[in-house]
Amino acid sequence: MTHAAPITDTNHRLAEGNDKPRGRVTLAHGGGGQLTDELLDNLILPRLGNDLMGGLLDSATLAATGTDKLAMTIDSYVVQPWKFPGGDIGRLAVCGTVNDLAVCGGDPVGIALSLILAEGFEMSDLAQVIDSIAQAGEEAGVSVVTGDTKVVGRGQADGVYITTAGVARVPQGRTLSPKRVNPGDVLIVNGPIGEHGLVVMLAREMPKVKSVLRTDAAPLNGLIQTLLKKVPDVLFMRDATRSGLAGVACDLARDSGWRVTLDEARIPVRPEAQHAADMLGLDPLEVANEGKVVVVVRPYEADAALAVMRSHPLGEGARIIGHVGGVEDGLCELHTLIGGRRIIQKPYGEQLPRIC
Amino acid sequence: MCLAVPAKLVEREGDQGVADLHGNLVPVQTLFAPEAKVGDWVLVHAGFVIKKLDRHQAEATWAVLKDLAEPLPEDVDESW
Amino acid sequence: MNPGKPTIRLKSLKRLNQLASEVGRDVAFMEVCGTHTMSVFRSGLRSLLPKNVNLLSGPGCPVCVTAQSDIDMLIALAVDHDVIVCTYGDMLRVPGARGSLEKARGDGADVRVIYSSMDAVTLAQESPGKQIVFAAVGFETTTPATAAAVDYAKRMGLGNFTVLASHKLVMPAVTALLDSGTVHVDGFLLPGHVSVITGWREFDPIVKQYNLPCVVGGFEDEQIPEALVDLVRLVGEGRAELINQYPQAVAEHGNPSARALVKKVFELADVRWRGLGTIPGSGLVLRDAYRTFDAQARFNLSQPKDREPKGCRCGEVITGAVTPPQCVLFDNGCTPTNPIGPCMVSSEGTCQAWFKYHRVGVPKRRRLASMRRRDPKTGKPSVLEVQP
Repeated sequence: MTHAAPITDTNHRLAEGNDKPRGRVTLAHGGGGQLTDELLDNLILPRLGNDLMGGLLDSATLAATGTDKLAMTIDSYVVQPWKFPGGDIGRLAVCGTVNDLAVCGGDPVGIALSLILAEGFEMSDLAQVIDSIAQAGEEAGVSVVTGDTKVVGRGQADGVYITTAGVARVPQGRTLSPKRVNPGDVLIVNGPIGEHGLVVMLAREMPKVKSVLRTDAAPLNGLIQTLLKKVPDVLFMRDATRSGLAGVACDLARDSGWRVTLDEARIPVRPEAQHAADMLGLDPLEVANEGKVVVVVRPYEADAALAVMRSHPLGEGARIIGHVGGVEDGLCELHTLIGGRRIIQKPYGEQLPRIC
Repeated sequence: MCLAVPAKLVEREGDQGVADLHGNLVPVQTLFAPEAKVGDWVLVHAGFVIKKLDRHQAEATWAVLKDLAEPLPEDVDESW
Repeated sequence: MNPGKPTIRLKSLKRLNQLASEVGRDVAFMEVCGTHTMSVFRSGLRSLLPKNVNLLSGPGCPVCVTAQSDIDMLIALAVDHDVIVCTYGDMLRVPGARGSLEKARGDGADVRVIYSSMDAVTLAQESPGKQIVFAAVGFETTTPATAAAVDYAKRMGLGNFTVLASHKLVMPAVTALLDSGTVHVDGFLLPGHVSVITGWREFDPIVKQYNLPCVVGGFEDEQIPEALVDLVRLVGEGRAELINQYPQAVAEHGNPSARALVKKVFELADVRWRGLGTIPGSGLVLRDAYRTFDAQARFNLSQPKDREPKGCRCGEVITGAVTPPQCVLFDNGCTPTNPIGPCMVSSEGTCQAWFKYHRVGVPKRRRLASMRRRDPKTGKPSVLEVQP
């Protein structure tokens, strides 16, 4: 495994200028010629500029230490609309990749960024996306170290698509796996669920709705590293993204082989999110998050884990939400508010607002 | 068969209005609730106000879990 | 482990158990509303019901009772005509003979999910060169929204807006079900939000002609057990009465302005129901004055033959004649990811509710004492913190 993937065909050069972006993206901006240089020099690099990216190379070189393992991940972002309350596709692209690395116990060291822009995309919008990438990178303490930009014809793509790959260092001996989970172990989530998915659905399907809800997209590596320092033997972690908390809990049950039980009364959901979900006919359990992680720890470490998480700004709302049970059937079960029980299943796919 | 949610009417102009669902401001049609005024609780289905709710009853319904649920100590499940 | 917080139990559940044991025989109630079906499963209420209280799901999911031919016509319209079909999200995945609206969209048809009928009207106003068709489904709760959209389109003189309506009425279906003699129930949990429009008087005949108790119920976790308490009590006392347990929203005569507009725009018709056949006066079609807004007329659509999927028992499921696991296709070729019948598609469909929340028999909870773990360093038993 190399330290960074050689992917670019447009050399990224560090520029000094930071003109106010005007106009729109044209096909020529992706052609690899002077216009591409101009886009990079004037719009992208000044916003992302760092020593690694200024090196005129087709790939970045990252420092490694002798004993660490490397974790690598890649993810594409095609969210519509590209911006929504509290964030945009740029923020998402950094947070998603950082979080995928962080939940594997990794300390992210660099992100590779690939932009696919549609002809006609506003330069000012592109600047906003890049600013968000820079902002989220700063929050995560991770830089974009190499990148690529392509432009496709009008109508061939919708605005902007982003792919981010990331590399992280993982200390020797750290294994986070559902296979390590046993009966009695405890599930913790770092805060209220369902907000990102609801925000995006409202922005897409009901743009006239004004909501106080904001995406929860946030880089979780700081929280997770803090946790791992105090509670090194976390058993398993997963960020609860597209299929929501239900998806993580069901996968954990399936992959560990044990019954996983969630307690509805303990699952944090903000009332404004619950009401939005009720209106749209959705279950917050099944709705996407971009800044929520489910952590599984041994029961005697639950208090410590909870206390550490709550000491971090992104874990203030941390709650114990369930446990691994002694039935070996790989199912996920919910203890409901009224004391009943039911099965939780992974959602089937696209979430749609419904009226019935 | 029909999802309907309680909300507070916060704006009204003719047959159009805005309903507040705990921080979510939703444009609504109000022609089926001619008597509903700004500040009233209403029931919203598919973007239409289908009923002006009685204030006291609506507030009771929203708080109803607190009112009706009583912890039964003998039912505490030790196994959790 | 100590949960720190006792599980919330509802007074009404305790009462329900008391009353049910006093009745001393099996009782069955039918809920005629898909949202009740959903709520009962989602809240886990089914796992808490007394053993002798059985809930049957009736024809209360508008997607599930829509005749196969109506779905086929809608999909043909989306595929074969240059139109934009606007639909509630509920209808998108319902399979017809030629796939679903979702598949049609994948194949290039312009299908948009909307939240309100007025969104379709707005789209028509904003897209003068396009024909917009609103796939109007639903019971009495939803019909006024369609009536408002059509009436508004007429007042605005919109030439590019039509509806393909398959609106249905609850009471004729309940009557047909009772007359068929195939379903034996001790009472009805009446649909709360339908009653908001119709008023609870609408359901009087169930009490007066069929001598069965009825309770109008709300949808919150605690409202359904409350309604069941009343039903069991009435059965125990041998009284057929109608009780309104949802007075917050339901009045005796419902919503007069909504009913007036529906009456202005629609007239009664004999329509087809999945599983129930054609029921006289059970559906609504546009009146002559609004006929120009009928998509079937404007696009000269012919009603395809009603071909229900082979082996599918949705028709019996929605009449409470069988429970989903009694259908051979259930979880055996027919799943929410690959639905064969509409009851598996709709999130309030009985089959999906069973599949999603009830498919695997959940065994009695075991005490986990044997699994309690000790901290290896201190040897202390594990104790969870108390939740605030």
